[in-house]
Amino acid sequence: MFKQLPPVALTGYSLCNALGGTLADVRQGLYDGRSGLADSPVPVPFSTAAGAVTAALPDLPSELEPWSTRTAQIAMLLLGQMEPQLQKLRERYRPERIALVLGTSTGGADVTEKSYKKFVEQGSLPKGYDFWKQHTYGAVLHVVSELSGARGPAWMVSTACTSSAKPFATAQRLIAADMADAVIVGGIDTLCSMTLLGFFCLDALSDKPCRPFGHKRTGISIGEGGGLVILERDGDAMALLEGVGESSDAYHISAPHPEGDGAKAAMQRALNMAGCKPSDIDHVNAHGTGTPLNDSAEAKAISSLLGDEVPVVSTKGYMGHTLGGAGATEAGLAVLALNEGWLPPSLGAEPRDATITLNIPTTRTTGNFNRVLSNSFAFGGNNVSVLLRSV
Amino acid sequence: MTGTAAKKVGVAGVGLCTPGFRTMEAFLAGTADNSLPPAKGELLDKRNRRRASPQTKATADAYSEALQQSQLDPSTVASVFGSALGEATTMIGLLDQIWKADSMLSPMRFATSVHNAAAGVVSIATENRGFTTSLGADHNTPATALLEGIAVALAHDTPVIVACGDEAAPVGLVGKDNGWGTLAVAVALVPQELASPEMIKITVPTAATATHHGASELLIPDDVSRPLSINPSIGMLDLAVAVARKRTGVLRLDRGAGRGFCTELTR
Repeated sequence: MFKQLPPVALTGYSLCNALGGTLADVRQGLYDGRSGLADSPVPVPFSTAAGAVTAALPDLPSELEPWSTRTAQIAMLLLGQMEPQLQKLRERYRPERIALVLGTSTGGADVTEKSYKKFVEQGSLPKGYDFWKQHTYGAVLHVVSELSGARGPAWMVSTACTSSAKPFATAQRLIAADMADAVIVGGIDTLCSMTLLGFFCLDALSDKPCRPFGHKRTGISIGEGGGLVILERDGDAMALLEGVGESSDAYHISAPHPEGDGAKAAMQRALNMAGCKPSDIDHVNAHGTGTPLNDSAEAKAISSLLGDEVPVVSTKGYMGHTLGGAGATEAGLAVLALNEGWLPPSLGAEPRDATITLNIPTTRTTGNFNRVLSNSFAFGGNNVSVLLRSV
Repeated sequence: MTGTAAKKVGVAGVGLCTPGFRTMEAFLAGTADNSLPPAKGELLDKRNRRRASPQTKATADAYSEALQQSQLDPSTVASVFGSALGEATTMIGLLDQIWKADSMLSPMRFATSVHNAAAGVVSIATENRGFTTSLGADHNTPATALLEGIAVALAHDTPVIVACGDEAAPVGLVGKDNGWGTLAVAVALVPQELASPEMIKITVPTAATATHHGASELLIPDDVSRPLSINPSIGMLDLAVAVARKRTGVLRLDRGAGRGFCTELTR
């Protein structure tokens, strides 16, 4: 069992997804209860809704042009939103004491799959395609490092749909072990054919906008985008990262434990690390993908650990499942709930699934939310629950 | 980074799997057996072994050797899996299905295409419901996997196995001249308080150049074939070999291809 670690300060965050390219846009979309899901812009031989980023993306500086990909452009957009906080960070710490731990599931798959198509058709990769500058994890890390000024160790966590939730735990450990003073965490994924086709073949993709926890849920809607978050030893905190619980199902490579045992263990460990009781939790941002099995397992886990009173919202009906970007996105939305005292309706949850007994608000809900859990679960039976507290 | 130089962990076991060599002991002996079949993945349960990629099997074999040597509890030990490219061959297989066969994807191939496929099947095989993670950072993967693992060990006072591996390079994407060979290496780390006196200890890797480590000797890695030497996981092999040979000194973890992270090996 992992021991308790000191909380760290969350001093900045930014979001970009189908609801918009700024935190303000995303906030407004949630406040209005507006879904950003629409017909998939990626051509696939079936009908599905997807959460595409439609915001204008910036061009990378000329010296970073060889690294220019959609992922890198989204990263630049996210960094631009946090520049005032990044400037303070650079003033407070030496660059080599600022680490960079990001997450992704798809990495450069969107670029490579298009380039590989040309390779198959014409026998050569397109001019300008560079595997090391556009596909690999080091490519995005290089761009973010250059643009943010972080010069500490940098790596990409890739644990499928928990990819950008796990960096929160890494950051807390790096700071506790005095291996860094600050860590930029987060993650980004982009839409590509491979993920849409893959989830379709797993019979896990919804043809309409997803309906997490709803009686009529049939699967997920894939989205793109993500979020970046600044975590520091101390600073002008917008929220505190109190603990992160991590667990493995040890059950199946792509299906959750049916009783949600791994999910429950992750939430319990987050509570343990923060020194909290279940009754201390005021809200859960659920993983809530909209597949029958996932939602059922997560509902059992939440109900069994936290009871049925705590309000539980899935925000995937707004921007889809951003896969490797989901953990950071939803931690950001948890901070929004802590700071503004309202929860968006859980889109698609009506009509309710009678077997799910959780308190799932379907209208905007106000309240005093002091501690929030943000859940992320993934292929490989990988589970993460991030516990954030208001300041 | 500063403030970390004095922090150390003990290395309680090492493991390896690469074509011609099934164990670290065989590798140290230096006689390749090219008649050996590919990695077996014997740690894995039958169903997942059948579905696992060669890379996942090789990583599982290296993990298993380090686990046995260290005698850590398989059901509780934390684990970090590093790979620069992960399941690249599986991804290319999916792209072939999309663009060549013009057909739907294999659900199982898609499910095992994730970077954390090895972590997932190893946790299933060992019934380990604890911590595992997977990461990549190009040629800095060995150093950053060690950083993640050492952070776990130091922050939580717990053992951790760090396994790094990359399968043969996808030459269609990286170019024929840059093709590397399959390699998987694992090291079992324990907090210094749990380390026995005879164990080699390693420091937190830093990007400082080797000369910044003071008067310690800079370790020269063993000669290996070029395809192995350019594998992004080569730094983990160099570390495991140095530990197994009980060498002390400063070791660079990327053979010049990354940011120059070094660790110091001491008694």
